[in-house]
Amino acid sequence: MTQPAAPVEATTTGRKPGDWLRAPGWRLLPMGLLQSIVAVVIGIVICLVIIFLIADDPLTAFRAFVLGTFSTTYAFGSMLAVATVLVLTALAAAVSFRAGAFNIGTEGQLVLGGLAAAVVAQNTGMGGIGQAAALIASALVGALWVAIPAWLRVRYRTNEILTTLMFNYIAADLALFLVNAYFRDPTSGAVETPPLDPTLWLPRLLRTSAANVGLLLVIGLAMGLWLLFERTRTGKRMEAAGLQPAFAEYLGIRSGSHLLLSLLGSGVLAGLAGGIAVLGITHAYTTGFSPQYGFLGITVALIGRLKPFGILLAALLYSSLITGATVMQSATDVPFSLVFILQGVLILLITSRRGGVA
Amino acid sequence: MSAVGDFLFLVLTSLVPILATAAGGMFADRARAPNIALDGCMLVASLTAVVVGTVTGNPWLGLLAAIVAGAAYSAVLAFAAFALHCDLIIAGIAANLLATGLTLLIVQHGLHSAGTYAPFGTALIPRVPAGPLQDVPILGRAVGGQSALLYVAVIATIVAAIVMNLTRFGAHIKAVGESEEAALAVGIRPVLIRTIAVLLSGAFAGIGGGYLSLSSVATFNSDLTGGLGFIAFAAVIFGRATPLGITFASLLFAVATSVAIYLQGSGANIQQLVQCLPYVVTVVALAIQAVSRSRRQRFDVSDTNYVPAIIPRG
Repeated sequence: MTQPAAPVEATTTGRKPGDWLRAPGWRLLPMGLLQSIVAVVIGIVICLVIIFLIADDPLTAFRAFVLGTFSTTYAFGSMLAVATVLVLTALAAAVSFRAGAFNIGTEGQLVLGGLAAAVVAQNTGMGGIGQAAALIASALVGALWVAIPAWLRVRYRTNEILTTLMFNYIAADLALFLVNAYFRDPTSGAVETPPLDPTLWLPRLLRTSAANVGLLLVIGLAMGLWLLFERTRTGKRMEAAGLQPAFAEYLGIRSGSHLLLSLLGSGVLAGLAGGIAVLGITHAYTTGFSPQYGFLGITVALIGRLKPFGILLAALLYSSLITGATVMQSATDVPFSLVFILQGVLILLITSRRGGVA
Repeated sequence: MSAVGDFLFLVLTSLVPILATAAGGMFADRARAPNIALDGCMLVASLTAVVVGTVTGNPWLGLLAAIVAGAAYSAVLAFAAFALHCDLIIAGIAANLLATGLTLLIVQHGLHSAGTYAPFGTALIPRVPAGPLQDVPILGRAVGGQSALLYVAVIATIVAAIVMNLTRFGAHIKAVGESEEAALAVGIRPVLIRTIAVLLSGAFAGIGGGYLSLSSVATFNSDLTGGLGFIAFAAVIFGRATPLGITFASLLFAVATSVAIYLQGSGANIQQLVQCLPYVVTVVALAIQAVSRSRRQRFDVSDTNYVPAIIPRG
């Protein structure tokens, strides 16, 4: 699932990789890209079939689902805003996956990062200083929240899938408790922090929509991560440590500390995603401000083949489907939960090694 | 005395879904096909249970349907892993997400409820009075009025233990898990055995899922399991995938759950905080296990001992 060229996977699947792909023309296409495209097409077709089966008015639902994003400026803007957050959670997932660890806890890191951003922004100065402090705080809290599972994984080989997953539930309860006990907006009936001052909001890109400058920050981060993974020794070492820890040790790479570094980096990105979601979209911490951004990020990372630029494209695609589903839910009787079904189907199709591709 | 009895009652109540699910997870884990989609299986099963129980009016039919649904849903995982050649862990995570989406879609669209499906007048699984044990001081209060599914879960665990340790099929499962090559050499088909093990784990998770929606109140929402399937999965790992081990591990997690429920009732200001106790205990248990394992392995150079944990390949 990580790199197309990993020889280990070819032998474990017990088949010669890509016998049917020997024609030279195929080699020009990156194989992962092809499989992602095929998977997305199949996934969307499955969604359309479900819509056709359950909707009273399938044609309206189709149109809303596929084109809903581009119907209004508002919808297009919220597509960009959601994509911003998804890129970050997807990069968070990719950084840990590429180093051979499954950080499934991005959701929890994001929730606590978002809470930290809301609280810090409230209590520091207005404008740029407050924003910067809030974003830094969210990143730090994200890293802090992954630190314990990461340390347990590196030092004692604890199963990080289960621990990070459990930390999601703990984070949800902890956030609920903290907001209720200390940070709750007394004038509001919901469990949320007081709304932030407009000077603390991330500046908007499109008027009247949620798209914000976080998008530019995120594109920069994706480029930085591309440089890290493709052009630096640290990135290559992280990958080697993840793919073949024993081999990496023979090469003199400290696989443990590289794994720790990548998991902490993953936490930083996930926490930052929470900060950007709060400062850019909801403008306060509200319970349930994240429609599972963390898990959606895993899907996006896999569609993007764990590569930064792939992730940028995949996030745009996926968030336009999310926005489409929102438009569809309000226009017809087909519920938003279709997105979660699509998500499961896509992960299965994309990680499939049938046919020896990746 | 009655307080202790009441607390034990609570422990047994919380034990049922964890134990039943973990007993099935044991098969899958032993065959080295760990089923991390137990949570999804429980979710699908509990929705099936409450729907079938309501339509037929018979909760036992609901339970049966839940078991079938659990097995059928784990077939999705088996298909993904063995036919599509997905990574089993990633496929399991995907199956969990798919289960949330699927049940949400059915509840919102098929059953026309906003988020929680609460049918009217569904018959529940009957509760069993303590009978002759009623006058025993603590035990009487602990077991009196438990759902009949407690006994179903205990029997299922015993059956699982017998199948695992005393039958040919159990030996085949262990063989496939410990050495695929050796199993192949003597004519065991690993994929077949693993598929059956995964289906079995789904069926057992069906009991756990059915319990969630048919024991005390017949409602369903897509957060119903609250990660219980993952806790059961952790119980399998913490219990080293042996029958006694998973029983103790499930008991531990059930105690943690009961303490959380008990403290919530005490009206302290930390209600949300104690809710996370079962998850904290799970992490601590996994950490302790890992620490003790790494202590032992300092002196152990052999690579043959069975590792029930899932280690991501690659």
